[in-house]
Amino acid sequence: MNRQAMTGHTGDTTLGDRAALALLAYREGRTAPLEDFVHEATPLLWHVVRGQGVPREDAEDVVQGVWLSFVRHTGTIREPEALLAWLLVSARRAAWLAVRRQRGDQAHTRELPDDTDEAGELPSPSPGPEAEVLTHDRDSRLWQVFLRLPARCQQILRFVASADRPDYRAIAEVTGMKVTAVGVTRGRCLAKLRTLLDQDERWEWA
Amino acid sequence: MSEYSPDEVMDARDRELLTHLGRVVQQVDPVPDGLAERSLFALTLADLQAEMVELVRMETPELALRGEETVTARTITFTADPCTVMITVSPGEAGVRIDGWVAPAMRCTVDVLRPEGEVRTESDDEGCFVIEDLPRGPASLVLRRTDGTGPAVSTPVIEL
Repeated sequence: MNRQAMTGHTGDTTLGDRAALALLAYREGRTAPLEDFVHEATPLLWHVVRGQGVPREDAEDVVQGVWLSFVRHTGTIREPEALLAWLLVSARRAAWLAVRRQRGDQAHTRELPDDTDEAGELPSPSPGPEAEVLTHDRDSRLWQVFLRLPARCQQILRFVASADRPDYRAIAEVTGMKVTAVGVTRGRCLAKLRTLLDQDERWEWA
Repeated sequence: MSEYSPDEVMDARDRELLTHLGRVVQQVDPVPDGLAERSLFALTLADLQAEMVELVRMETPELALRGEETVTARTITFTADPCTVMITVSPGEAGVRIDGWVAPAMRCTVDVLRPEGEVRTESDDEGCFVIEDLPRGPASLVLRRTDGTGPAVSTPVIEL
């Protein structure tokens, strides 16, 4: 749980608002709001990076690198309101580069995901042995079915499920979609997930 | 089989499903403990490291896994243009021990930066260095050639 949630400071502000306030404070030499914001936004960056298929060990460094590039660019981010978007885009790009570096030559001919319409080409996060940690049958059923969704659906739902109150703009930044398409896509992905669960005879709705 | 319309607003079952998925994601892929703290420490080091070359982590080489005594040891390799640094972190009598190797071989000062302060050592002509009894916690290594040539290089903040 993050500090904001614990202290109930969230109030009416969005994560984007708090990012802007943290940046303004940081420029004035006050670092406390930024510290809170780093605590709050780091899990989100983590899930963005992992959602792009970066292995856990590398994801650590990618997240750190995003924060580092943020402090190096504090002077050039003109609109504080755009900071959250800036971080999410940086995370997505850094993750993409990390995956490309790892895959070596094979990936050199690929383009950044937002240069193409082929969302399906995004690397799908591998199920891996991590899934073994799921001891409850219902949990592992849901995870198995979730992994059958298209990569973009997995990214969106993972993000929506991990964020406290994700706004459409943030999701649009993460996925490279237009804001207007986010609500529809999220709905479509949820609908797909529910349909797949309905088809699974071992799944029972609560 | 039922169909759901994507145009409808989220209902209770959608929300329940998302909450459940959030719990599952947290189990399958938990955010590493202390990642925010390590990021913050990296930020505090950022000012010092403005002119440095950042090393990036490479895949751990297989040869690091060579015996029972290394079960709890970790070997991490960092690389960038001027050099490659390999370190093995193993539990010592009081804290952890770092065995490091710089390639190409060169004499350099090695600073281990921690939130509580820094520890310095030097590598020998072969590029080898050892630091013992380091407390656990976040740390970043900074290497500079003792002859003063070339840029300083730093590793990302790692958990010792």
